[in-house]
Amino acid sequence: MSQGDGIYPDDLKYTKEHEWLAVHGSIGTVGITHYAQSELGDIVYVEVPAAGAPVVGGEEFGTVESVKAVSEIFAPVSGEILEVNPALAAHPETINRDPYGDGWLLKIRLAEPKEIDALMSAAEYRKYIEEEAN
Amino acid sequence: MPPAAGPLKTTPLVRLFRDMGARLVDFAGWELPVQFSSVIEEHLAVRGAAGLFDVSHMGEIEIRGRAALELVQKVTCNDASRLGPGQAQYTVLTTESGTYVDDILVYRRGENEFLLVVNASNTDKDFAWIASWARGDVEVVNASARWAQLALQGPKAVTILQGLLGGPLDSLRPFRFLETEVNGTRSIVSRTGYTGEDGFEIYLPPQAAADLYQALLRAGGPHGLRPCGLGARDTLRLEARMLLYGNDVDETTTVLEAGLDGIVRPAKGPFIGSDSLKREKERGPARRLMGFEMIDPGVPRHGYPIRVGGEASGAVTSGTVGPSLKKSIGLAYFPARAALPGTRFAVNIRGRDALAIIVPTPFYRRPH
Repeated sequence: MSQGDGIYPDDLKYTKEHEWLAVHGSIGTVGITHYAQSELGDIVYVEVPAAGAPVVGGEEFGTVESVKAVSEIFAPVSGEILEVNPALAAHPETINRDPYGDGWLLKIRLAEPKEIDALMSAAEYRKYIEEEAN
Repeated sequence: MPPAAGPLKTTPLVRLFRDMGARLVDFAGWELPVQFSSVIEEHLAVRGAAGLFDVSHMGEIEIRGRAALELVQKVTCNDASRLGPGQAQYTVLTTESGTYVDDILVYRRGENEFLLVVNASNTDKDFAWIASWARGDVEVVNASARWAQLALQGPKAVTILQGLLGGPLDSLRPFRFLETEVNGTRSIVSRTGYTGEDGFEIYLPPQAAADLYQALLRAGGPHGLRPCGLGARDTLRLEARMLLYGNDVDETTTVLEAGLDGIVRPAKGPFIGSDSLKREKERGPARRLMGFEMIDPGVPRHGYPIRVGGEASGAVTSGTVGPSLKKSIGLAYFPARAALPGTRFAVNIRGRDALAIIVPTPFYRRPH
């Protein structure tokens, strides 16, 4: 697949499991990348814990399902879920349309800000998926 | 049966599909497009306009000779003597216990000439099975390499195909076929399909398939025709409660358990499995394949365990989110006493019990 500019925004951090993390102070917003939504195809269902639940960096905490496949989602960092995107229950396809904007999954209160250093930059992630595709 | 190791088999269209940017996957040992743009968009195109599928991986077995009908009658449960030349029938190759060797289409091309269209992954098995029952003046040929197959499906299919054909198509009834020139090549044009919509399946020589595929895309473009992959084929057939061999039916499930009583015709005379099916019919099948909808959120998928009245009771055989229904739907076998619309039960979705309810099928019926 082609990866034009802007598909992997520079101000985000990325995981090997194809989640992105945007950090604003002590709050992180999490979603899945353009690559992830494109590989999955039409997303029809999202299952994540409710606000208040803890998540652990690197561990599975929910699923995103397309017509054909179930994909686990992994927490980029540890913390407590503050908010789940309320639009996704009725319109999970928002993730396909706008994976970094309206298709965000949830917001986390960061417990270990140092964990962010272990995530990939946009340039590193681009390189990573090119290698994974080959 | 697991797909054979080694290089994937390809249809005559694989190069075209690569150029079109289709997503190709390994399907039963064949490299086939799972989607071109989006499964949901392709599905809705077939329901609202038309879609074009390459199904050249399907197997074709030719049976001819004075004992051809006798052989077809022996190995299938439906009554092929009811077919005149130019007529097709959905039927099952049955085992001695009334289970599935395969589900197939039988085309009667002449008094003594039949074409059987079988599932790709079963082609070799079916051919060996049928050939083993051949007696007298009959020839059984695995002709799969000599036939490509395109499926043009949807309410606009007749309009699109008419332009590439000499004779009138409107008058061709469901389960009837013509042997005629399409786009300049002699082909079989059959009013059949696997989507729940009106449409055609076109059988033609492989070397002519890419030309016809492109001609249909050109002719259909203005009518909303989209190239479609196996992903949409699966959601379309499931909404229409058409069964998938290997998921919903196999050598452990009987034709009566699958609910296809109408194609079991012991009155035609003995066939493989007829005694067993007659006995099963008298006492009633122990379980029935039924359609269901999810009540709780979640997507049921093949293999997810189900519990009925608290008891483990098999598994989902097919499941998806139906794009035309915007609901999670599926099929599963239920004990006869519970196999009724309205029965509530649990689907275990990755460790969590989710409530579901048996509903009448098909889930989707096309508007008339």
